[in-house]
Amino acid sequence: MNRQRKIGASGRKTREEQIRNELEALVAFLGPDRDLAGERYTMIRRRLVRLFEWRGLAFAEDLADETITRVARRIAEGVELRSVDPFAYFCGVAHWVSKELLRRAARERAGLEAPFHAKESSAEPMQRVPPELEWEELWSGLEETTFSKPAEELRPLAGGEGIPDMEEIVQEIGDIYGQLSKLVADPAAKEAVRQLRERLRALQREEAEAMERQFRSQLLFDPQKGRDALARAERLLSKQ
Amino acid sequence: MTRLLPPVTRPSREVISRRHLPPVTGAYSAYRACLRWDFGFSCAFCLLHESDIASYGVSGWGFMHVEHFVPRSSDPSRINDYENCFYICGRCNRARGKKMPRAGGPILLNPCSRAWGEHFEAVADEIRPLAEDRDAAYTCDTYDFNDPAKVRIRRMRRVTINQCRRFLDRVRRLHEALLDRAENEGDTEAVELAWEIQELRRQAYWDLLRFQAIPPDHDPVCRCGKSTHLTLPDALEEQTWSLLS
Repeated sequence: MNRQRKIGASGRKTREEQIRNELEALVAFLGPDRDLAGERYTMIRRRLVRLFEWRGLAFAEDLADETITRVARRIAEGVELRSVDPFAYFCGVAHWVSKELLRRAARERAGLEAPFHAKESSAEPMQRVPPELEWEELWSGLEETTFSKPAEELRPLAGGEGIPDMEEIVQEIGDIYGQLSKLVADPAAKEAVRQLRERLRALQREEAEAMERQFRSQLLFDPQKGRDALARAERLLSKQ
Repeated sequence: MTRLLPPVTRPSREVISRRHLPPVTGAYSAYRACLRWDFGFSCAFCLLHESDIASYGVSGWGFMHVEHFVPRSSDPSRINDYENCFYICGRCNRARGKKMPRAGGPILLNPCSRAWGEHFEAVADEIRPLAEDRDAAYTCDTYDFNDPAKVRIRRMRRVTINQCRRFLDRVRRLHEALLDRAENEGDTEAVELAWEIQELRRQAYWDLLRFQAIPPDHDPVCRCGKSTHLTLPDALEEQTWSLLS
């Protein structure tokens, strides 16, 4: 009993140390000082929550935390992140967190419907974050939640008309497009790439319009007022 | 004297020459200041300037990235090679990802060894490859030079600068005439109109100042430690203009 407690305490301590190391690694990765890292952490978590909500998954906050924990673990393990934009890496991990969830749900459903098959399938190891995304899984997973939705449905799902949200969508689809376009030799992938390119272009056009609206709202000078003022000045000066 | 961006940045007929040579470090991110100056705060590929992108509130991780022409995954030994690092906008970087040209196919053009003006032209807010230039077409496609957002950003710069400039050019003489009339004849309508125009001029100046060729947050020092390198590349400098000119 004592021995068990000792092992348990030591195990807990090791796990606590591990968590502390992971946290430290994440903070160091996110920014040179804790304040900046904190800000970035909050921003990433918020975007992840929105991403999971957007995919229609329950307990989005828990999934966001799980994603961050996995990234922290990877960083603490010394994995060099290849993503230039750290959020893209979080997105990749989030994709796999949601995939796992969906796979688990499917297994559970299968278990209810056909217990013997479910036993076999439960032997399948839980997939960790793979080094490269597999296009077929990626495509089938996102086609249903994202690509098949019309753009006007995506925008409110992503939180209104703000630029960062549209940018988020375009970025995500762009990332997947980049992954798929490397596989154009595969005829099925080729068709997927074609469809995705059209989809990406449509979203980019919407994003561009939103950007223009935002830009215009920041401008001070109104050209119409300028033209009116010039016309009035010319009229006044022509009067003697 | 504040230099402003041209309404349209034309691809240069000269190769971008690197003037900075930072000491090799263990982290390519340390080259950022040198890269900003070497590439004139502009994307080496699609020619968008930091000032173009900053207006859209894109912030956070930095809207400009460091691109590895030979991707890090293809040749890890070149990760911290300054010659392999380019200043690039986030959209170009994402568009390319880790794409590498296939053997025997068209090649990716390098802005430090090819003059962009010999391969591309600026047409209607797009950077288009010259006809039958397969390498240029491939490069344009890989970095997606003309994604709708980039085209719109170029258009907004062109339209804004032209509108403000046209107004300021026309208004200068009229404004002076109005002030003379107000002073000599005590015309109250002229006084009011002169005030209104003064305010419009101020607004137009402020809008133009969004497009400073050297952004207000430029790095006053870089890893090279030489102040003589802190200038715009000639290709961009000769296209800039001043409000006083």
